[in-house]
Amino acid sequence: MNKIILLLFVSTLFFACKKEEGCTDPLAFNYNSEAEKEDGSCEYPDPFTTTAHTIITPNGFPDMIHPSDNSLTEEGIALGEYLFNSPILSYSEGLACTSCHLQENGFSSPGTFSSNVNGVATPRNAMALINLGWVNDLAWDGRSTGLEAKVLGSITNPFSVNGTTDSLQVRAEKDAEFMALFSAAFNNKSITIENAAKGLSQYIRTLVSANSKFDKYLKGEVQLSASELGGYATFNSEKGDCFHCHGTQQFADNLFHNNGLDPEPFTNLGLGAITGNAADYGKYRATTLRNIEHTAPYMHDGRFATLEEVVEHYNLGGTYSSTIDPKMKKVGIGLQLTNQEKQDLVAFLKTLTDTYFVGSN
Amino acid sequence: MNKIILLISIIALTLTACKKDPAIPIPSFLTIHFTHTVDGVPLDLTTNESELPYTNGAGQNYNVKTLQYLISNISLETNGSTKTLKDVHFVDGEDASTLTLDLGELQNGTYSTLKFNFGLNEEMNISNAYVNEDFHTTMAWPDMMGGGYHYMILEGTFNNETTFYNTHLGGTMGNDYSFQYNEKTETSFFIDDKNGDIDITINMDVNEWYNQPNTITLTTDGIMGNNDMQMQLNNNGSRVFSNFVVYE
Repeated sequence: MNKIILLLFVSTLFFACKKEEGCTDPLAFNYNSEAEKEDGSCEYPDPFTTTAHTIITPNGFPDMIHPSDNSLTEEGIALGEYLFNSPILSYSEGLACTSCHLQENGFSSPGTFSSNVNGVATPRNAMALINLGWVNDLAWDGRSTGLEAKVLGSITNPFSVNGTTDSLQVRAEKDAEFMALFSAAFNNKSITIENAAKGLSQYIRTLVSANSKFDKYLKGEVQLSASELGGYATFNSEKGDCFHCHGTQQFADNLFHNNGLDPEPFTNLGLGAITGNAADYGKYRATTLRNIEHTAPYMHDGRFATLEEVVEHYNLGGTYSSTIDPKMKKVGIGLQLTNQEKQDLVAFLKTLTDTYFVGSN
Repeated sequence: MNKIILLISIIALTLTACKKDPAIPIPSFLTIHFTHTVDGVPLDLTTNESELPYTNGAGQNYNVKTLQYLISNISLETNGSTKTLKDVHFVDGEDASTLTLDLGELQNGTYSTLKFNFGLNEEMNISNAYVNEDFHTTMAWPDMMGGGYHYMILEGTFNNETTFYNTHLGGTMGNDYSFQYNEKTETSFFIDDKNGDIDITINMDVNEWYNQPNTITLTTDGIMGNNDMQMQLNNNGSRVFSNFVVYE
């Protein structure tokens, strides 16, 4: 009897001391938190990978601006393109980016102003989304530094798209395509409006236009007409003086200027409303002239319907105010361009159209 | 006996304690500061349009709203050799970060001559050569007028608040109007292991562009395509810059 008791005691001790075996790696699919001994059974998910996307820098352009936490990937761009064309981000699902940024208009709006998610007109003309990967201070008045901040500002602005993380998450559950694209781009990161802005920003960086008739002329592939060449000369002379703010292959300095649109007091302060500096009142970003033929109406408030009106504004010298750019040196005098020179300027500006970019071919 | 040993020990310890460490070299860091004056008075870029505080040699009253320029091949001469400090530097009177140039540690030696080019010489003044520099779009000079970059953008109003001048200097039609500043530093300075930091100030007196030897009359016409005007301003440039050195 005593032997049996002893045997039972030893057996109990033996089993009590035996460690539970299983997968002990927390990174594994089948991690067993109870397991104390690794048994080699761990199974791992395939490592999350994305495919890097490279944009070839056009001739004469600087390196594109890329934030370190939002590198371009094929998956991120695909997500961004989906979001750009989908109303999933907007408060009432009534607006997509394409509502105000149409490809045939150089990703701008043909209307003077656009309607926001509540049907109310926006205070500014919708900007063309062209080569924004090279712009740091965005919007007409420079309110956003960096593309991600600008996109996030637009899609969350209550007076614009008015998107929120909550509304996006609710809709995402019903949108299998979005879920697949998001998962491919960001793995298991949270579905947030910030991550959506990153995807959108990646897509917008791919909206590169650098293959206009003028670019082909520089490469010796086509000839410009006499009128176009005449406009090119006026554009780059101090008589026309377009190049100071719209120079280089970008056709923009993307800096802020008062180009003599209004007298004081200004009803719209532009950059000055952001900086609070009176010296910045009435200044707006000089945007690219690429595809300008397709991005009417012009200026921050869409006041000019045609390129001819724009050229005439500068030809008249603009309106004096205390913050007018000194390069508007013919204010009160006018450029005194001939009708031929004005026509030539418009002809040249139209050579900056990239037909593929605006979806014309 | 014990007292003798104790005394010797104290003396030995005292001597050891007082023994100096080998001299630790003191590095000298060089900083260049850019300042601007008009007839010796500090330039004010924030005057109201209606204020015309300066008078040029032609008797015109004017103000300055924009002052931006490039200098290149900044170097110091030491012991018969040239130490290049920086290839190209952009100065914007409104951007304080461009008004100071930290150039790191300066090696021991005697420095007596400061050299730099105002603008970019023909070899450097190539379109898109500095495409990734902040000044690229601001200073670009159209290919149709020779290409490259503005050497300087000096702008403001003259005679009255609504009349603007644009003194834009550059390589009109491919001509090289840059020039070298090659002057003894106000006091030659010697760097050894004991010196502290060195500050060199390069001052531009804006009015000198307009006064001697050529009296420049401001107009509303641009001068980027005007070779004669570019040459006259080039000649005036020899009096524009000065420098002085301060040991910190």
